[in-house]
Amino acid sequence: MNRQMAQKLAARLPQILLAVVALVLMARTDRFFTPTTLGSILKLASIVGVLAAGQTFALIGGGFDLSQGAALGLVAAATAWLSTQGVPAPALVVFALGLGAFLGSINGVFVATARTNAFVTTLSTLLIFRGTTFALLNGHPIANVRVFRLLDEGLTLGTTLVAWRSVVFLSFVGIAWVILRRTVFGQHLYATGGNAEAARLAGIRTSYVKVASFALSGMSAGLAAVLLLSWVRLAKPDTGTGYELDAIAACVVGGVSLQGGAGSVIGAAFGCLLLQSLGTLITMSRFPDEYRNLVTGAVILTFAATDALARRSDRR
Amino acid sequence: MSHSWSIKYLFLSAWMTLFVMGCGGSTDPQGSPSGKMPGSSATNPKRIGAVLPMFSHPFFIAQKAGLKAKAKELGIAIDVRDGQDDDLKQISQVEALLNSGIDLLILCPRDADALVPAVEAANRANVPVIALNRLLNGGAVLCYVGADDLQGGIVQGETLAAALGSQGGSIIYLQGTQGSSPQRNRREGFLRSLNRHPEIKIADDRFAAFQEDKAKAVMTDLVQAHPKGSIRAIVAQADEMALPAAEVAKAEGWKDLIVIGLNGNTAAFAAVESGEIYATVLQDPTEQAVRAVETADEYFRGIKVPSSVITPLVAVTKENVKKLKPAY
Repeated sequence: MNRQMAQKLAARLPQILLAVVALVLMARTDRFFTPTTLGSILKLASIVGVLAAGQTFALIGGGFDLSQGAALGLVAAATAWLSTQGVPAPALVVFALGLGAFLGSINGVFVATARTNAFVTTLSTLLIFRGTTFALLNGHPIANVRVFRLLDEGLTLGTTLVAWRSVVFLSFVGIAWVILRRTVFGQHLYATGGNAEAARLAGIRTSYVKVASFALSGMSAGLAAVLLLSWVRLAKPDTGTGYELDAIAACVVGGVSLQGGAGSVIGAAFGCLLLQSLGTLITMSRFPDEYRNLVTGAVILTFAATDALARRSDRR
Repeated sequence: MSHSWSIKYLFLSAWMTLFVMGCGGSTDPQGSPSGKMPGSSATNPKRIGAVLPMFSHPFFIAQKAGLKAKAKELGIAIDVRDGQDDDLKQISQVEALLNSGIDLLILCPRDADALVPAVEAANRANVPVIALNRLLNGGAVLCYVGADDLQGGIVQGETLAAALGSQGGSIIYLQGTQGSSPQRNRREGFLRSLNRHPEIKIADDRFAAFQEDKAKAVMTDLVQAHPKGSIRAIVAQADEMALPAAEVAKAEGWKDLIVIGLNGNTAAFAAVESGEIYATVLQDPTEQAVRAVETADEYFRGIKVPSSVITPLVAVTKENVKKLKPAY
C-alpha cells in the first residue's frame, strides 16, 4: 500500500517540484501572501475560471470548445447593446446565459447529429460568432456599459474585499461540481466521454448528453460575458479573443483529460488559479515580461506531460 | 440511410446559402471597378486600393471613413480592405488588390518589416505606394503620410518630463501587443526621450496588448507590487490602457498620479478634462487618411508629390483639450 503511494507520488514528482518552486518564489516575493493579493488573484481568475468550468463539461463529454472566447464576445456585444436600450440588469443576465447556451447548443447539434469533429465545428463557430459580433458592432465598441456595476463591487471580509465576481466564479464551480458528481446527467456525461458507443448501448441518449455539454460550455461563456462587462464596461469586436485557450490550458493543468471521460471541475478551477497566480507572480517579482509566455508554456507542458505519464502508469 | 443523407444535404445547402449571402453582402459598391483597364484614359476614374491593418479598432474605422469620404469627394474609386490584424492576411489583401488592377496602393502596414513583401509586389506591378501612418523598412514608397509611432513616444516622454519637473520620479510603463510595430516604435521614442531625462526611472514595464481588460489585470497586480506613493506616473502606449490603469490605481488610493495615454480618443478627452488622466497624445486618423487621398490625387494629376507628409502629433492637456477634437 505504501509502495503504491510512493509510486504515485514519484509519478507526480515534476508537478510537486514545480508547485514547491512556485511556493518558494511566492514566499520570497514581497506582499504576495497577503489577503489583498490573494483576493485579487481570485478576482482576476474569475472570468477564465468560469470558462474553464464550462469547458470541463465539453471536455469530459469527449468534446472540445474553441468557440468560447468568440461566444463571450458575441454575448457581450448583444448584451451591451440591449443595455443601451434600457433593458434592466436581471433580464440581461437571463438573456446572456440563454444566448450563451443557445450558441453552445449550435456546436452540440453539429457534433451530435452531423457528427462533425468538435475541433472543426467549434473552430468554424468561432469564426461565425466573431464575424457576427463584428457585424453587430459594425467595428465600433459599445463603451460605458454600467448596468452590471453592482457586480463590480464585493463583500468585505475583515479588511479584504472579496469581489462578487469571485463569489460568482466559486458558486459556478460548486454548481458544476454538483451537476457532474451528484446527478444522473453527470454520470451519463462521464460515460459518454469515456466510451460513447458503450454508453449508447447502455441506453444513454448520448446525442442529448453531448448537446447539453456544449450548451453548458456556451452558457459559461454567457456568464463570463456578464462578468467581463461588469469589469471593463465595454464590448468590442475582439473582446474575449483567445480566452478559450486560457480556459483549455487551465483545464489541462487541472488534470481534465482531452480524451474525454475523466477530470474534475475543481481541478480545472485550481488550474486556472494556478495559472493566474503564476501570472501575478511574474509581475510582482519584477520578472521581465519578455519571458512570460515562455515560462507559462513550460509550466502547462510540464503539468500535461506529468499527468499523461501518471495516467499511463495508473492503467498498467 | 436516406435519412442521414437528407440531413447532410440540408446542412450543405444551408451553408451554401449562407456563403452566397455572405459574399453578396460584403461586396463593396465603391470597390467594383467600372472600367477593367488599369491605368486607363482620363474618362475612366482612377482606382485606389487601400489596406488597413484591421477594421476592429476605432482608429482604423475612422481612417477607413476618411479615405472613403475624401475619395468620393475627389471622384476617385477606392477599395478599402481589412488586414484582419495579421501580417500574412494583410499581404494577401494587397496582392489581391494588385491582381484586380489598381492605379495606386495606400498601405497602412500592420508591421514595418513584415509588410515589405507587399510593397515589393506593388513595385513589381509598377503600382505606386503611399505608406499611411506607419513607415516601412523596405521597398520603394512614393510618399509617407502620417505621424509615426516613434514621434508619439517622444511626445509622451517630453510631456511626462515637463509634468514631473526636475525631481523626476519612478513610473510604470504599460506597453501594447508584445513585438507589434506600434509597441516597439512608441517604446523606442519614449526611451529616447527618457535618455535626456535621467531623473525619471521606469520602475516597472509591462505588456497589456492595447486592451482594456489586460491593462486592468496587469495594473491590479502592479498596485500590489508597488507600495502606495512610490510611483509618480503611469505612461501607457494607448488610451485604451491608460484609462483602466488610472481607474485601478485610483481605487487603490494612489493619489496625485500623472497618467499619460496616446491616440486621443473621446474617452481620453473626457478624462483629461475631468482630471482623471493628465494627458494624451492626439494623432488624427481622419486627417491622415484625407492627406493620403489628396496626395494620391496630386500624383494622378501629374503633380510632383513630396516624399513625406507629416501630420502633427499634439499633447492634449487640460489647457488645450477644449480647443481640439478627439481622434475617434
